[in-house]
Amino acid sequence: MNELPDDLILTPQPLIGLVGCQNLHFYIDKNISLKPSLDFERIHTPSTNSPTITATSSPTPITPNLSTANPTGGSGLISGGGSYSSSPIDPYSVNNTTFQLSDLTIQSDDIWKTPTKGNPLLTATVNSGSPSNGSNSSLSNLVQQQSLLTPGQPQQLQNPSIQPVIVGGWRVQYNNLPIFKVSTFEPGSLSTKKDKKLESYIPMGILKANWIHKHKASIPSVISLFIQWPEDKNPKSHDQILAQIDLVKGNIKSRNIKLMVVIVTSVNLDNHDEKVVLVRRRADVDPKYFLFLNKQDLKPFVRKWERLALELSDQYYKDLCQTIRSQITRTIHPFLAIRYHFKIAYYSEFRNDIPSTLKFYKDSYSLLKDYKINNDNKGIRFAEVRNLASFFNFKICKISLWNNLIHESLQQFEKHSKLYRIYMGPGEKEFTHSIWLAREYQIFAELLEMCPNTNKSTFITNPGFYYQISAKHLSSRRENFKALSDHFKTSPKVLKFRDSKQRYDLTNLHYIGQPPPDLSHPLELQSGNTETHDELVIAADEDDFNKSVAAELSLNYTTLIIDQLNKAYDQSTVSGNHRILSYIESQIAYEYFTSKQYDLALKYYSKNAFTYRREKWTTLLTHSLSMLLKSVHLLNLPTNFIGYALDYLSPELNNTPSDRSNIQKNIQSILYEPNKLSPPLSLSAPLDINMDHTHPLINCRVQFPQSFTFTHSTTEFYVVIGSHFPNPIGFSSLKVLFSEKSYNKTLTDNNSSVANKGQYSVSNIQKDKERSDLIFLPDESRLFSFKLNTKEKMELECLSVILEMGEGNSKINFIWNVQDWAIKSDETENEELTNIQPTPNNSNNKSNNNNVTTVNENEKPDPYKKFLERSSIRILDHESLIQIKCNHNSPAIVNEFYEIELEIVNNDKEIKKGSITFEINQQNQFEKGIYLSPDRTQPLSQLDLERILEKKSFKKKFYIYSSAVDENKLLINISYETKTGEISHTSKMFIIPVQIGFNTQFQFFNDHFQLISDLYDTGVPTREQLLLLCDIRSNLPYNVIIEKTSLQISSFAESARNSSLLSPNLTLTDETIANMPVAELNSNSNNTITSVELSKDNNHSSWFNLVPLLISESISFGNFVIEWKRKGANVNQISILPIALPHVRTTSNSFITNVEVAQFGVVGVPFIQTITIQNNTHFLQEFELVVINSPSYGNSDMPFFFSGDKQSSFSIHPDSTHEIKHVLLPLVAGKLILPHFKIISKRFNKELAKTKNVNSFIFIKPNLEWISQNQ
Amino acid sequence: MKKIVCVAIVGKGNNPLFIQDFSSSITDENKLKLHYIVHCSLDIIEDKPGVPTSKKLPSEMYLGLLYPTEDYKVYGYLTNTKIKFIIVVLDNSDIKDSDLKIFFKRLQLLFINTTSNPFYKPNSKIESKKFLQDVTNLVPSL
Repeated sequence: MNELPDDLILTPQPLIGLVGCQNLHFYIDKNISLKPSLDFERIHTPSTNSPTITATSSPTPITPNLSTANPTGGSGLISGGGSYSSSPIDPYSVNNTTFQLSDLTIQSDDIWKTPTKGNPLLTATVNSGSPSNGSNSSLSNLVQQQSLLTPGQPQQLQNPSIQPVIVGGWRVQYNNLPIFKVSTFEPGSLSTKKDKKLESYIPMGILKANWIHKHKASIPSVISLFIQWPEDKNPKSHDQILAQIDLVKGNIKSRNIKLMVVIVTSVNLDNHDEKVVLVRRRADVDPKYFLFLNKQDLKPFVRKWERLALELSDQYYKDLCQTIRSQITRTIHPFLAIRYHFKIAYYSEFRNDIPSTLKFYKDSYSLLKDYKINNDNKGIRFAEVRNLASFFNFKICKISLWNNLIHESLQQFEKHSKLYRIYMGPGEKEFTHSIWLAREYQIFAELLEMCPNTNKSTFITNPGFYYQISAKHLSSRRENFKALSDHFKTSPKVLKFRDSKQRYDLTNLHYIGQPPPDLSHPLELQSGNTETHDELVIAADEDDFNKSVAAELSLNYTTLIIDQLNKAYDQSTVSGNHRILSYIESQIAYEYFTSKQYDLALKYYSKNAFTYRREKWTTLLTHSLSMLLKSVHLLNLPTNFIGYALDYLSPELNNTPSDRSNIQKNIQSILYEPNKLSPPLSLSAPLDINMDHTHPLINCRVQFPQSFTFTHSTTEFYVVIGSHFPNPIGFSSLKVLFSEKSYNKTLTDNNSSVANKGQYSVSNIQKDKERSDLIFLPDESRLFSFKLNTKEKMELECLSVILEMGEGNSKINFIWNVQDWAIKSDETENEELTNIQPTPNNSNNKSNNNNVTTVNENEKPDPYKKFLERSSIRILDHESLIQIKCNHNSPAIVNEFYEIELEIVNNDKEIKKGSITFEINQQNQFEKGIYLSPDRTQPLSQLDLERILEKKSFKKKFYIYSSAVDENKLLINISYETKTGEISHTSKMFIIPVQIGFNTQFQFFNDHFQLISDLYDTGVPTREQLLLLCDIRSNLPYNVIIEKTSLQISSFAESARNSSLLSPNLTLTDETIANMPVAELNSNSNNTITSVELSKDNNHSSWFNLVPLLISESISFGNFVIEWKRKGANVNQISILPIALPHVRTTSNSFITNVEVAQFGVVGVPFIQTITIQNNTHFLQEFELVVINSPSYGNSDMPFFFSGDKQSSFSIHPDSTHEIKHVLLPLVAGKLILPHFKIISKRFNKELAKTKNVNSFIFIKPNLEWISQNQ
Repeated sequence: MKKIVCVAIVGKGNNPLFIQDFSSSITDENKLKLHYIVHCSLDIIEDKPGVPTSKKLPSEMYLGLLYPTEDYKVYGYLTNTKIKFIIVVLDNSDIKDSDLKIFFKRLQLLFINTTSNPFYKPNSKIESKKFLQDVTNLVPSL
């Protein structure tokens, strides 16, 4: 937009001329009411140093009258206005001078800090529409300087809510502008209109260059004459007034400028004052526009005045339109038609009449088009036409956009761009058309960007698109100029203008679109009149052309293009269309590439490549990659080159085979012949490339044929590498790295060495055949198999496969990190492992295994069909084929040296040596042990294994002892080495229950053979005979021989130990007492029996007679000891099984009663029955004795006579014994009931237990003497 | 003069299925540019207000003029399986929408016939020579 004059860009404002009262003018100027408007605003001022500002020295034709009539004001006016219209203000060219300004403003005003890149922010603004821009030259200059120094006029801050878009030194902002411009004129200073004869007038061009500016700045629509009413009554002063009126009136008459007269007075003047009337008459204005101004009420006056002035101004422009309209009908020259339409449009714009403005601009545009088509098909005036078209187009587009007619604007621009796309004119000037086109697009883009109404998210209204096309035209501008540049590089005509700045400056021109007249041109000086205008144009044209060529030569196209593209990029970012962005990126990249900024090209192309790879647009990706390749090559980045080359060679891309093959050659050249490339490219260090698992170019797969193997055996490892290089390619070595370094393998091919320069004959290579080289034909997959000798037991994993190309430092290592993508333990593998795991004792299975392996060896797995990726293998120990057996007769019995025979059956090869270890689950509470012999002499924990021949077995007996009921877990570990050196380990666990083996039952009886049932309640009395019945019942599955059963009476101490839980305070200190037995064993029924065999569920009983001695709440008299052996075992192997007797309560016996009776009696022979009672208590005990004879027996009344007390009482002293003797005389023979000697303890009121029994019998024999006597 | 410069079919993942240029005097650079144009036009298709969201079925599959570049016009057509048909025509050729619709319908028919081939892997590049021939025959009809 900088290419366009400000006067065109900005909406025109009516100009009101003020004449007469300078100090008042200034006040009015300040107080004109404002109206909000949305318009462009130039946000930087060209510095006075800038060469673009030449208006001060500009030639006079623009405003000749002004400058001559008013030298001070005129020059100032031009300097103010002209500086703005001087156009190509390159933001970069003024960088230096304006930089401080932006620095200044940063502190004071942050609002204008917008992130727009590349546009220096210039905030010191001079609004060309500002009221100060006028007659007072010193003032306007002052204002300009001030505003340079003090940036930021307050009115620009009034609308901070709108964030202005700043484009190319312009921005759009809501401003409160005065409703019209005022400017002070000297009376009679206006230029007079020349009268033209329309019919015969032949214009030299379509639109005069100064016309717009003239109407904006120097021809007011209304002249407001302020007449300072003289205080004195001097008629002379009135004459002056009248003369002034005449002067003004005469001056404005030709232009039909409206007149307002204001009489400034301090006194109240009567309207009908004679003098006033005179003045009014002279002025000849409508009374409405004849005003009085009393200085007291300035403000209301200004309001009134401006309303009237606006009215008049509107009328003025309206009248002008009318006039011109009538002129149109009278003209025949197409130029004038266009010109008049434009004028009407412009006047309408003054009047803010949008519809008619638009209409007439469009009309002039289409008239111009018609002219171009009908009259200028040779393109003689093409440059002028297109420039005007550009003006009209800008106006139409701008007004449409501003009035929300976006669609119309777009249509207009489309029409415009189509209409003028094709260049007409001399070929060497074609580049100027590219400049023009680029500018048109740029201007439209800027318009769109700045227009607040446009929706930037849709493609068609996004300025990015137009910037992009602008960039395109810039690049075609370069193309078009290229041919010229060589030609004109040294041309003196061009060099003359080398230092002058090409610019587009209306002030230099006569007609818009025509080259500026060159006053110094000799032709014009000599024969200005003889030359036709067209010839003049041509002559000026040449200079103009040379100038532009000179400018073009010094131009950096890339900056321009990149600038446009960056703008396009920024704008397209708003719409978020990433594909379009990518396209712009690619254009930027290309531009950088052509300008040899390869690093930047690289950056953008790699972004591109990323996008297109993601989008799967292979064509575009291919293009990006090939550009990337060129860039990195030129940047001398060999590693990147190789990287991109590998990408580029990927068969997925649709590049041509020859391209691919070239790239491959390049790679090989880098490695082997770095100087073959231009520029040379070589690797300085080996390059590691981490390859994808399935890289499209070279893929690699690895496999162990099995999921496990054994130590010290051999296994294989397969590597399959598939190459899709376009040509045969050779590698120098193939390395396979494992988790254990010693397994690493390397395969080297010497053929593809440096000496061969990567050349190798492939003629004798047959595809897919086994070969030893490392050459891959295109699209060939090759299987490499490595033999591995396994060592230790471990999990061996393939870490990586490295394929090397080249040697020394110029080497590429293609690395596949197999471990990263390997499936560590997939299900199939586990399945297989469990299936194949052999069971050692199954020989069939083993032979099957053998078969399987042989099959594997014969038929290698076809790598091209089903290739199970398996990168790790388990190296297991050699499977043990020996068999461990234990021969024994379960269960074991407590305290038994349990005999076990270990049998090792060797199904393996001959065993050279080995060792066996035995382990048993030890427990602390009781004794347990493994012994070699059935005693404790030879404990066993390890045993050396000696040579065992194949299929032979080894036997060894050993014994396990356990002193308590348990489950013995016996673990036997065997390690052995076979003759062939394979070491195997095996182990087996055996579970042996340990039991008592016998059910024992114990019963206590008293001396009457009466079962003592309540052993815990009444208990057994001490010091009395007790009978113990021990019943053994075998529940063992085998027969045992009971050698002996005995009773082992515990000592006091033992018993105390056992019962210490029950009576913990029982302490035995006396040694003798401690050793005393708790009972006295009288007899054993089985003393004489030798040995008895006992089978299952059979009983073995034995009786013991004992007298308990110790009184205790709970006491076990000792152990019942069974000495036994297994049937069939040898004599020595007698086991002793002690079984603890049950605990019983022994009660104290207060009175030990002993009844002694003869065993039998004889009738008539007296016998003595003695009852001794011992008083164990500490008291005197009284007893009562009653003898109750049995009432009758048979036919006799009583069976016995007896002597002694029948009924008595006696007492026994403590610890003394009382004896009661009765002599009984049996009277009859037979089984008789003894008399009941009832002894009752008085203290206890209880009969003595011993005498309680009423049913004690005695056999009385007949008296044989008596019988013989009788005979 | 042939109006159609390029016919492209783009899959639902915006991956190209078929791109063929039909201009005799086309340079390599322009071929590339056509790819860029077709690719960029996908952005426009995504932006088009008429482009259905996942649920709504389109009432009209013809998308109309996608965008005019300086030299070409791009027209689009979207099937309800999100296959995009894009044609690039010369900018100066004036084509009626109804003609374009017919053209697209025919093109879709060809596409359907080709992709119905059991040997065609869905969403992969169309490499059928017959399809290319058919399209080449179809192109002058516009």
